[in-house]
Amino acid sequence: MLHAKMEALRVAFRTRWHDGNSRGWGRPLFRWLGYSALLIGLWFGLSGLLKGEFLTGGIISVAVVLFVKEAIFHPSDLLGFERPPARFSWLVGTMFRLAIYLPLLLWEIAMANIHVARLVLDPRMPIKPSLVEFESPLRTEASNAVLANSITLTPGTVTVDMSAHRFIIHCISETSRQGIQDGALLRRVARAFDETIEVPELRDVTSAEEVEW
Amino acid sequence: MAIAGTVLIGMGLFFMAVTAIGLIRLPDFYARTHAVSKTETLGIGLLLGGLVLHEGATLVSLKIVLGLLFIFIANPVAAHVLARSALQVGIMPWTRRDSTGER
Repeated sequence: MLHAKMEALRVAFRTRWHDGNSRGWGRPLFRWLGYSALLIGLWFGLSGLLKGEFLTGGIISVAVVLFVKEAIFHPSDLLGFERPPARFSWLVGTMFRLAIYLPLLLWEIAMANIHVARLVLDPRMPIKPSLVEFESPLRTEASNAVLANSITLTPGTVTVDMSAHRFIIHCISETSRQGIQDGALLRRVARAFDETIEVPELRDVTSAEEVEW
Repeated sequence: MAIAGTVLIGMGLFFMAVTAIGLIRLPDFYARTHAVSKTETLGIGLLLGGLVLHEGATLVSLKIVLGLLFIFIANPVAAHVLARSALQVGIMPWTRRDSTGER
């Protein structure tokens, strides 16, 4: 059992190393070096000490984190996503646009929080829950993940399922549902990741049995 | 600065109180997920923001901001996993009956 697991891990590492689709900055060595630099920087930023035992602890932690990450995360094209453009300019541009996106998201969260607080405190509690699904027009894993997290962070809507092509969202009221239907968040995420999209139609999910996993 | 921080912490506590009330009042699992994972984001955001204002521009503030960032990434993932497993075992959300009696 353990032997089979180790063998699977070894194969996973080999395929990742000989990853033919990755070029330029997306190459595994660059990826691992990038993650290591980020994590080491975080470690020393948080500990603020440059002593021997802290250094060893940091290196061991970074190695364990990278190992686990490579073992449990699959390459995104196996999950049906497209690879992001492996260009440095795209990466820097996306970081910059995400920095603009974050305050907009915080504003959405604040507004929606007040909406949900009002629903909860209203004596009649005028909620109208619904379960909807739509096909995500976003293509890369990162943009879909940011959309899913943004939807969940925005009060009134929770991402129940997220795969390459389908989102299932639970909305607590008509207003929240309308927000998903308008696709305001979706358009902002698409702009941040430089993708062109059309806002998809919503469908109601009426029974748990009809959902394909 | 200290007054602004205290005001933020007070607002954060208000949203956390709303979370607790919502947890009791809302009808089913999914609706309660909204109360917990949502109102809490602003609650914790305001609370930690207030602490940052109290602390000023120090290393501790930086750590608080990093913690906030972590919560903003990890919290939705946890909420998503809970909701997903609930739907996978076949729990359907509570819905309001409209005037025709249909669900």
